[in-house]
Amino acid sequence: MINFTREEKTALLFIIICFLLGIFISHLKQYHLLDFISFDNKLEQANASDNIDKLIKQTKTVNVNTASIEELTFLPGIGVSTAEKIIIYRKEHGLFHSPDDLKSIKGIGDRKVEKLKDFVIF
Amino acid sequence: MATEETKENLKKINKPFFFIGLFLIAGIIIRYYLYIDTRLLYFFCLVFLILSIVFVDKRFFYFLFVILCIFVGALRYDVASVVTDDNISNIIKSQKDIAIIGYVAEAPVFSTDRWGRERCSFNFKVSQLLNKSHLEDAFGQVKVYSVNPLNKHLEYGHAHVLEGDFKQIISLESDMSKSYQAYLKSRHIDGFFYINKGDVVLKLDKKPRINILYSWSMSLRKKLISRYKQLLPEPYSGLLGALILGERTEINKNIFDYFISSGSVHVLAISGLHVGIIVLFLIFIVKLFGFSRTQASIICIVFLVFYCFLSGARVSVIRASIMASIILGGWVIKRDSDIYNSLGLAALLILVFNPYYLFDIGFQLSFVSVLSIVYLYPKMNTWSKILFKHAQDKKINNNVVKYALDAIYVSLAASIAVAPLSLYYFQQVSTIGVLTNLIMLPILSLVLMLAIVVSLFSFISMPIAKIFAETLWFFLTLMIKAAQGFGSFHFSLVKFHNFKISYVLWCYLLLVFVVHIDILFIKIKERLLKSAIE
Repeated sequence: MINFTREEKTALLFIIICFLLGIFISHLKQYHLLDFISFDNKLEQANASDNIDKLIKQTKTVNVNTASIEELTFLPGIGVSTAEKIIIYRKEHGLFHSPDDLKSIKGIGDRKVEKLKDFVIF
Repeated sequence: MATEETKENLKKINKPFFFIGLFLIAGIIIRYYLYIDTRLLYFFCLVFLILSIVFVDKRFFYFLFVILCIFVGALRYDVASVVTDDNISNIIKSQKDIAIIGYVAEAPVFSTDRWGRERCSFNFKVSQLLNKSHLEDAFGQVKVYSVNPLNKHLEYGHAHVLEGDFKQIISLESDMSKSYQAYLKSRHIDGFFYINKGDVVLKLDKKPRINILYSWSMSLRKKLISRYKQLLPEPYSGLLGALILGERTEINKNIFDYFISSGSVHVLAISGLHVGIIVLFLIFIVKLFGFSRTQASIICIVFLVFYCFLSGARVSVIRASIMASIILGGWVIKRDSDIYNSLGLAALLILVFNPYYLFDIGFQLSFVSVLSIVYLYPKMNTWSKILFKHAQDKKINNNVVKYALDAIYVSLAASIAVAPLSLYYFQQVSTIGVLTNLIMLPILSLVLMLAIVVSLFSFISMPIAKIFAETLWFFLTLMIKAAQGFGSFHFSLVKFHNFKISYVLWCYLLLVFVVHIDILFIKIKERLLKSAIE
């Protein structure tokens, strides 16, 4: 006869309970009874932003005061070395408040700031 | 006489690997901040090794051995930091329009950036460099970022010619820059290589260099991710991939943000918790097939090696797998293993392999949290027994209360220890992490166990796997809702800028002081009593 330990019996019961629960959930889903708890990404994004402009701005901008090196490299004209300089500058001198503050970083001039200002937030 | 004393001392030290690991770390840190000539390090290692052999039976052997461990740590770091003359970073500085010849060292990761560009990143082992039609030998490894449409032809282990821009790693004298360089070094990266749209990406007809285990695990990883996508709708399959395989590229950004703001982002990084739950459940499953506990342990050790590769060989997984293997190995040879000793051995193995891992955020968070749990949890238990003596007297034997208290202590111990590092690296710390964990961890356990069942059945029968996946969908929904709910509190994250490394050290010193304050009180009390008697 099979001789299971208490833990093995628990594992076996867990698998059976999950199987039964799975059947029950798929049954409920057929009648759309669980739609209210399902995660709707589009709805979440719409809730997260008041209007579509804000949404576009949020997804296409980078906060230079909190972004990681990899996130900063998404910005036009910013490579790993400049991103690293931004992080180090932020750590040593505090937060940036305007696009002009970025000019303090070696490698970022007027032209680059002009290019960046639509994509950075503070 | 001296021999007996040494034997007694040996009996007292039952955590040798923990202490060896600790002194090795001290050596690495000393060498990191202080330049010492390599020849001098070799000399001191040799001197202290000879002295340790000569005075092996003497009392001060331990002192000599400690110094030896420190010098060995310093030497290991020194040797690892050597960059040879033929390394690509020594041959060229940052330069545009060059070509490198070599092998793709890891499976390319494809993703879409927020500008909608198809990006691909991978490590590339360089063997030759073509600069202004001059071909020369160059070695090292570069991290490649490519937005080239020819990315799809890239294949792990195969020889390629890549055209693009090389950028060297800049070195600055700040702590942050040094730690970033160390992070790159821990991954053996000597520079960056950017491939743009018009550049050449060409596969060469050479014999591929493939690590079979890595290749197998990567192909299984790909298959599992595609099965998860078949079984679960979009945000859920991505979340499952992150939870079980550490695949972060597929996870929905909104969901990721909820986990960050609720202080539970650690559940998305595979750690000891994941490995522990997976191994325990796997043992039960293996035993269901009639295997003994010893056989099940051996199977699980083999699985852990494979799982390290499968989950991207992150340092936290390696640490957890080594510790779990030691515990399972102890079951096989029927010996108890000391948790401090296992932790020390894990650190020792990782750092001997690559000392730069010490500066990896994952390494620091992983080891600090485990050390804090094993050290603080029993103390918290004792303190709570003293504080809630009245409740203990009434004998509250409710399992739910016991679980809740245990979960709070473990979570609190880890959160306290991780907070200074979190403030230093991420400039923020969660205020409700302990509360979130109380809800999140039981759900995570269920999700991980069920994920194993779903993964196994996805290769046997998709219809059965689909039924289990429905339950998994339900638990994943609960997880997202919990993260969403806790993350919506305005005070869930506290931000703190300019948190320096010195503050981190002060925080840990304060923590050690607070933890030992009871011992201090007892000693003062004893002294007062002694003086009163005298």
